Amino acid sequence: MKLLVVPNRNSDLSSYVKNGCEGFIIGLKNFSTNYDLQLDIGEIKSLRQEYPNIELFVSLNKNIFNEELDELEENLKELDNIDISGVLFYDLSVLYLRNKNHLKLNLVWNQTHMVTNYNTCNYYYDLGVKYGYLSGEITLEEINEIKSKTNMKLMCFGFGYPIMAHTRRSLLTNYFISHNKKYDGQICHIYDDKTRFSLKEDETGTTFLNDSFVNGSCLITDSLIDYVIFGTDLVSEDKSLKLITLIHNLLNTKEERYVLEIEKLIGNDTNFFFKKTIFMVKKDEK
Amino acid sequence: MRSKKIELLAPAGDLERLKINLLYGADAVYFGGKKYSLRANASNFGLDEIEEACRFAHKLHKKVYLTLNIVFHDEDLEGLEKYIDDVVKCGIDAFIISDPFIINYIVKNYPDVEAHLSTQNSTTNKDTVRFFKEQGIKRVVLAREVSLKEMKEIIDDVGVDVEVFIHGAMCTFYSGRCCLSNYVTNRDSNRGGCAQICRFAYDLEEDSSDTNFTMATKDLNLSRYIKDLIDIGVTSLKVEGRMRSAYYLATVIGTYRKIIDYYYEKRNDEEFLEEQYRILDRVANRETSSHYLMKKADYTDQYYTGRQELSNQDFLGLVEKYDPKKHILTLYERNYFKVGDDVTLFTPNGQDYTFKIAKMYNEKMEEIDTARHPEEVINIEVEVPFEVPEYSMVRIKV
Repeated sequence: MKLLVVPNRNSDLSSYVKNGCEGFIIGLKNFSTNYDLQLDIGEIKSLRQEYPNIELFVSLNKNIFNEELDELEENLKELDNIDISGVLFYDLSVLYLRNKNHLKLNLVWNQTHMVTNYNTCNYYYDLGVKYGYLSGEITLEEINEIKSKTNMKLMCFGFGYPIMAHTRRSLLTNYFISHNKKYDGQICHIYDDKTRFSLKEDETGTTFLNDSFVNGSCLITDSLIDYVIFGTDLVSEDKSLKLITLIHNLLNTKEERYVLEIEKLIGNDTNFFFKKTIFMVKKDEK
Repeated sequence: MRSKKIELLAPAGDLERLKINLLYGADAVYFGGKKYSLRANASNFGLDEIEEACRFAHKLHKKVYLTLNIVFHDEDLEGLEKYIDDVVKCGIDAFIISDPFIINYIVKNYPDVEAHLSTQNSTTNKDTVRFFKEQGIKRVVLAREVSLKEMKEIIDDVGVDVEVFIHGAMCTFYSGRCCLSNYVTNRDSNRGGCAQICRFAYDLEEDSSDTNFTMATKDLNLSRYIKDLIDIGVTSLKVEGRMRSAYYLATVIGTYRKIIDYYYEKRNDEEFLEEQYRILDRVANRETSSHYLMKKADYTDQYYTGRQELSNQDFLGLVEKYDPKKHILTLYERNYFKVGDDVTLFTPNGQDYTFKIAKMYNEKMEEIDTARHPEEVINIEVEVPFEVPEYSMVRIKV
């Protein structure tokens, strides 16, 4: 299992690598959403040259519209000529264009909340998608079942603040306009008695992140997935570096003391790893 | 205008509403079964009901689609293929799916049954549609974030059947990209358990004003753009609302039927159209908008001070029978009305009759001035100039 880090624009990448990060996932300018660090093709080439020995994934995870397709196709061709590990995609146009242009790019099926069963993993695998980024809303048991029934290489979000929802609407701008105020572009927080969310708005829309830090140490100790992901968004640099070191140590030793140290640093919110969601409120009457 | 007439597709929460939809002019209906549907807590249809629904619709030369549009977890997979087999035997015309592995099964085993791609996939561009067309999808329900111009490009360039939502509630988020319900209530939004967290009000830390932060959207209403949608070649116009009432559906479907027919009959009667818009504007009891059709949705498309819903008491009663000799219209009351009110009798075949209530009686034929209690039998004296069919209704004059 390898540790992939999603850096933010303030991240010190060289320190991350020194502390045990084995790869990065970065956004591609104009084609990513909720990636604080988004680079253009030239910058991705430079990053590749600067860090030739780490895995580099590029995320194109936004919803794509007709007028963006030409630029998307050009970008995919450019990425095909860079030695990257793979491209994460949400919109199926990425898969269509990869196949249409016979590109050799590895793809990562990354439909945020929809990567939830082995059958669909196998469906995309048969279409040439060799990686899957599992949904954060499934249990560890489900993760292990999927792993046992697909040849896809699997990634899971293990550490950081998870994304809960994404809209094309500019919810913060709209709210402030409706109150005759101007939105300053900063992250905002909404809350009620039970919950607190972080809201980020950019040109792709508004994204909601849960305000509780996920601790996915169990992925390292109790699963055979291929990559565990740490998202540094909204996390201080100091905390990120400490956590990368601890995750690296846990990956290499599986020692309980690192589990405890991670818990001390970030708490013990295991998200949905041990909590199954429900959907039938009434009795199932099939 | 394309030669094949555009389809009006209606939601059905149960058999009665399915029949009302079809009688009021829907060309096709969609509903969920007891499993695998994104409205897990609606009544939904058992296999016997699916069979009856198909029989009823096919007799009228109309179609029936079943939603299989949850995002599957491993535990949901067992029994799925047998379920599809059973539903096909009932006579279903198409499945509306979001998890693409099901496409293969349907295409291989049931070439006469169509696979339609659910809006849950948030399909927003030509190349994604091309991808699914190659997989065997016959129809794509486009994301509600797609504009009229983009719809046209998809239809012209890809050549696949396109279905478009025209009326009803909107998700605040991209369909499929929202799990607020999972995090807040543990109810899985992508498996039919959505608790509509986007309708709640919150405090915003960064704003000291007293008002709450809300993100709820106004309903969708594209009634003023039906001609545009016909002209660009949309295949099907879809109404949202499997949980909606029979009155709502009768009104919405009946009105859209009239608007669609108006364009195919090449009529020129602005007053008629304005009346239909007025009816639709009132029935939802929520404000409406065209959202992304002509522009990117903005602050005008949301609520900010709580839901702006007025209690809608337009629906006065469901007609039980009409005695043309005694001129007595018998109905089951739904909302308060009284002698002197101007009301409209509307029928599944599109005929309306507006009149002032002059005399009315209770169940024992004792004269009364007011109808106060829902579910009471009320007899209204009125000479209706046409035959009054089953499922006719009375509403306040709009």
